[in-house]
Amino acid sequence: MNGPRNSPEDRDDAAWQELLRCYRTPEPSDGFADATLWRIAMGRHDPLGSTPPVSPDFTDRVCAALAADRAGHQSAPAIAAAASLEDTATPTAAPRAPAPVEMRSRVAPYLVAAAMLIATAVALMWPKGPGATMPRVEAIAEPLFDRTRTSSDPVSMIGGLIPVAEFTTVSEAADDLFEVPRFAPPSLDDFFAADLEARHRELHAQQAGDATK
Amino acid sequence: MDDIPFSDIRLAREGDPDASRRIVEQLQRPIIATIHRFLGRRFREDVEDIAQDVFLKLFRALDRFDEERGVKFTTWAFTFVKNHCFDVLKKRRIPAVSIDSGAVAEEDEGQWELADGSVRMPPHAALDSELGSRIEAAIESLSPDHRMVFILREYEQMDLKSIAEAMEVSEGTIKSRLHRAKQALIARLEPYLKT
Repeated sequence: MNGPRNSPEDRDDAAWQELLRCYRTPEPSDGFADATLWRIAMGRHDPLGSTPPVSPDFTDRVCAALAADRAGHQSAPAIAAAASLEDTATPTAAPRAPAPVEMRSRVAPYLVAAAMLIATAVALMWPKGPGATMPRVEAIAEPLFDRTRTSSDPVSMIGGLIPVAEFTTVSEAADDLFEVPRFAPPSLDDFFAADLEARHRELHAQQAGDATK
Repeated sequence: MDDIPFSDIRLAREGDPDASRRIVEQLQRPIIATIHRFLGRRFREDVEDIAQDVFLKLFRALDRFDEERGVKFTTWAFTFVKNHCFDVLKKRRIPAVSIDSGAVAEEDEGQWELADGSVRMPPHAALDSELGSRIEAAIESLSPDHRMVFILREYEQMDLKSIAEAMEVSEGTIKSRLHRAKQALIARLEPYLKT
């Protein structure tokens, strides 16, 4: 440890060394070595560091508990109780009824399967195709059309909505006066055809009247 | 500091109490002094407990000491001192204290109360008045790496090779740290240097 001090920094002047010596530390207390050796000895025999011995019948008891579990599907406390009762062979070692929680766990898969069957049956029986949803469409579209209005009426609220360009189109086959809603459901075609004819007749009658005047 | 004889190390490995005592008695002073100087004032009351922890680790690892590697046992022991001191600093998160903080002379000057009821003078009393406190504070203001290198070199008189082995760095790094530590301390303690 006391190696040669040959580097330039090692050739300290006396003042520096004297200054450093002014900082001294206390000597170890008298009982330090004894206390340290005692702690070292305790560390060597640390009970926490060693594994506690296993009882000789540990394996037998575990196997018995596992066998009881396989046989009766008993819960852990029941296994322990059964194992202890087997050892003591007392009259109270009668088979125990399964715990309620175990009954629920056995029934649960059947309940889930039944629920899935019911859901499948309902899905199969549910109406399909356009007809299944048509009543809803008509219910929504019905208030939008005022069957009493004519094309000569000024723009007015129809079913609470103002008809705007996006919602109407001009049919090429029909007169420019008549607008046909784009979103007219097929079931209303007849109505519009009849309405169209009525308007034509009204227009011709009006033109005939003007001509007679 | 003379190294520990291999015979004592072998006997201590086998649990021989006398050999263990010889090792503890030979190493206790340098280990306690190094811990005291390295950890500084805030750990003053814990120095011997920390030293005991170092000895416990050292003796638990005694089987791992390989005589064939050519490393001195004392150097190997100081590796434990360094590692444990750094762990203590890390756990308590004590920042380096500047010598200019003015807290040097404001530490408590009371006596130590020991568990067995005996009373001894605090380590502070071993310092040479205010100058000792100034040096202590100056050393404490160094970074941990620089501080440990300086203490091992200047106070424990270890050679550079042993310090490098204990600090687990190269000798060049030790020289650099030592130089910087010394320059910093000279700058701070210059007013106290007698020309």
